[in-house]
Amino acid sequence: MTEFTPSPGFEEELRRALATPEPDPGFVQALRSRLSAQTGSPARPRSFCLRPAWGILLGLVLFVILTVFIVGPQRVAAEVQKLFGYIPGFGIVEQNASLRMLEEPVTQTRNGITVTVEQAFLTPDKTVLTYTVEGVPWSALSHQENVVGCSAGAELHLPDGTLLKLTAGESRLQEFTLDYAPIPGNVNQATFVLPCIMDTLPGLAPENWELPLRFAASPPALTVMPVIEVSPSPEPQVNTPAASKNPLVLLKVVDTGDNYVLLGEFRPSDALDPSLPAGSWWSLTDAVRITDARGQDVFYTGPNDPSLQLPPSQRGAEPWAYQIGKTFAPPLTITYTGRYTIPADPTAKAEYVFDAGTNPQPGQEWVVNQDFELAGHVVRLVSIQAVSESGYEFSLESSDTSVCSVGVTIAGYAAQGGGGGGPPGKWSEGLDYAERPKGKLDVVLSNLTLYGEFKTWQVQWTPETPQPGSPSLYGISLAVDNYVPLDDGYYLIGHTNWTDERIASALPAGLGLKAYDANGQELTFEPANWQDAGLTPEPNQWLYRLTGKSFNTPLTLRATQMFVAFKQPVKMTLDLRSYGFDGSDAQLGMIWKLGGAIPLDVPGLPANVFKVTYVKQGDMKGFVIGINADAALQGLPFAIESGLNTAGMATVSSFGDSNRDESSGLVLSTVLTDAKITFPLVLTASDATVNGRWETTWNLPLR
Amino acid sequence: MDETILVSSAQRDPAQFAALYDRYFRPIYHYLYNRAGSRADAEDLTAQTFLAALEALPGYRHRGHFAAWLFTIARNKARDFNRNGVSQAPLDENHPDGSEDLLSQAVRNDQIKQLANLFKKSTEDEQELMRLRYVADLSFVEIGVCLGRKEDTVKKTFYRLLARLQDQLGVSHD
Repeated sequence: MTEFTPSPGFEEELRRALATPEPDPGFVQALRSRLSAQTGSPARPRSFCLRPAWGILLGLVLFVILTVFIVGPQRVAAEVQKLFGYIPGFGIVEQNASLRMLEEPVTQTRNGITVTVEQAFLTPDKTVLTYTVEGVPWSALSHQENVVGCSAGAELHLPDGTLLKLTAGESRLQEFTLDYAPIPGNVNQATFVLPCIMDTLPGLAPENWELPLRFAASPPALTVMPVIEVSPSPEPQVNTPAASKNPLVLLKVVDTGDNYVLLGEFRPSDALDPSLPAGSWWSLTDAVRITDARGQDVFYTGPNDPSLQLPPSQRGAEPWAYQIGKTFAPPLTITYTGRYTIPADPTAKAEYVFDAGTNPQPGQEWVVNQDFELAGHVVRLVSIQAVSESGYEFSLESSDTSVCSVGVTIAGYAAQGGGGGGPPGKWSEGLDYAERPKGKLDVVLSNLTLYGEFKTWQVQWTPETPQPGSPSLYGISLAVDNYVPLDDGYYLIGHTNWTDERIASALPAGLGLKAYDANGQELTFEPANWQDAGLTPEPNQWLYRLTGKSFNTPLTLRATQMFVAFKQPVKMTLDLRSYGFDGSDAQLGMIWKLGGAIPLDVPGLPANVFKVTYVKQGDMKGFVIGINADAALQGLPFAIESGLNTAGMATVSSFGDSNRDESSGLVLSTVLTDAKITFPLVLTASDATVNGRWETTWNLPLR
Repeated sequence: MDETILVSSAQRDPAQFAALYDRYFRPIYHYLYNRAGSRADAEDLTAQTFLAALEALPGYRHRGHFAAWLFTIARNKARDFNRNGVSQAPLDENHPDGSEDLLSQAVRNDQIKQLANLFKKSTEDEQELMRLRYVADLSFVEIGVCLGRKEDTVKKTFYRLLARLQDQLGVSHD
């Protein structure tokens, strides 16, 4: 068969037939700024409108003098409505929706690779299926950009031959969640067909997997977690005539047991200020903040379950989802801080002609140093440089602090891309072309935008029912049971209570329990030895020695750190094979940044694995696991549950330790072993060190 | 910079996502404009696409197919948009770059209009194929990943489609 070869002219015409207008530079910059702010870090140097140091400095130094308009805080009443429920792995469903599920997980292992269909949910609207893949060797995967591994989507085959194709999908490490069209209510079987394992190269991993699935009505005991429908009440308070609505809206709160997931959206159209010129926009300048009643930051992450997201309720709305723990002091306040960007006179422009010559070379520079006035604002074109294979970079500066950006084009040439950014008052704008323009070029400066006022949007939420023990973490409390007089003081014997059923024990950490007299003066108070005291402890009892007898009562005993043991250990499966880990010494010190891809189910405290470092200490090798977690979590020591090859070893030594690293803000958990590490490596943490504030008082009884 | 490095940098440090944004903003925007038919909707969908991509980036692991992954998100956003009852507006704007004389431009514009009409009469699958190739500038491999088809299949379907269009246009470009 002779393959048709289109003429270049025909293809070019087709391209032009499908062409669409160029984007508004203001939008390009605004979205870039929004994304920069969304990353939770200051805008990067390449960010154009929000110059990084500018953003940080102004955010910190000028905070008090900014014109901040606060809508609200919009108090929101929480109203539990039983209209919706949340099913992990599926998302939010109507409570009365007919729901079927996979009868049981189905697994198949071939050549050491295991494919498991873990769960499936069937509703009249869609079918959602989750499958996992384990044991894929690194050697079977594609590692080069130009070498394509398997990318075929899994299909569902129904008994009558109907083929359900993938409509959407997400993956997280080795777990794939796939959406399909709904399966008819009278069909209770299907075959999951996986043509090949994602990313594997042909012939290096088993292909054509077929797993038979059976579906059944969802059991009455199916865990459907409550979804709290949040309705604004009263109507958003408005303290500026510029806005009619609060663009920051909290719509639903999902109670996942351990955490809350706050679901809402930002509606940019409601952030528009009609008093500003058309085309003005508001964008985030700082990371989104969630704070408690005391104004302290509440740690948040994205939801552990990617299915927990809302579609936009209206055109242009930007949905968000924040997962938080339950130990905050309500009300909770979500804050978006940003400012307006205002287009200056759109007709204002300036031109500069320069001769790039017939063969401009990368790195070649033309010094300009010429001031141009646009709409009454002065911008200096410092220089022009030929960059990359086909582009130019324009260096600009302005001492006018209101100048945000200026658009740069070369008349008669359509750029294919570009970007810009730089420190305050000094920035660059890059333009890429299919072919570098040559000869005399007319550089046009236009579309000047200016910084407008800062504005903050807030929304508040208070849980309808207080959480167990809230705001005390795990509902822990202290009590003094008894005392023993000594010559120079007292033994104090006490115990710890807790209301959170996930906790097996809780004890004040070593020096984490302190004593204060009635005047707030700290007393000498140290852990004591039960044997020395001739006493036998009851479970969860603690013994401290108070030195001195002349103090004003009542005493306040205050713990700021606790060791807690969990009834269900926190489990984590680490498999770095698909990240290229081979266990060789050459990889010691290597860091795998997972960026939160492994969520950790620490009771009540959001946490996820941020990075893993391969380390060696003495004869032992292992990992330092960097955990991004709620500030209350101070330590989460992992032990190795499985994943060691101990063949030929008489004894195996392992080591685990954990602490919070102040410089990185991460909880570091070190696991080491002298055995050979294999994957998947299963780690468990049975206890944790947590910070908090727990108090009790004690009066010396009268004798 | 190599895309793999850009992607892994952004996975390590989300602030590095800006480099990916710079690289993919235009193709994503133009693709979504073509799907949605208006500037406002294209902007909405582009914002949704990049925000979703930023959020989902830690879980991204399809090495070598970042563009395809990103366009899959964009396609999902566009599909949701169309599902919500918003019909696709016609694309009848042409954008000559001013490099031709007026007569040539007029002749060419007429052919472009005919092609635009043929595009509109094509099936949704065919339109999507052309968009991904000519608006999004994806390679056949990437289109294959996006559509869940083999590269060869995509290529054959595509060239069959082009042959038909050229035949329908009745214009020789040899």
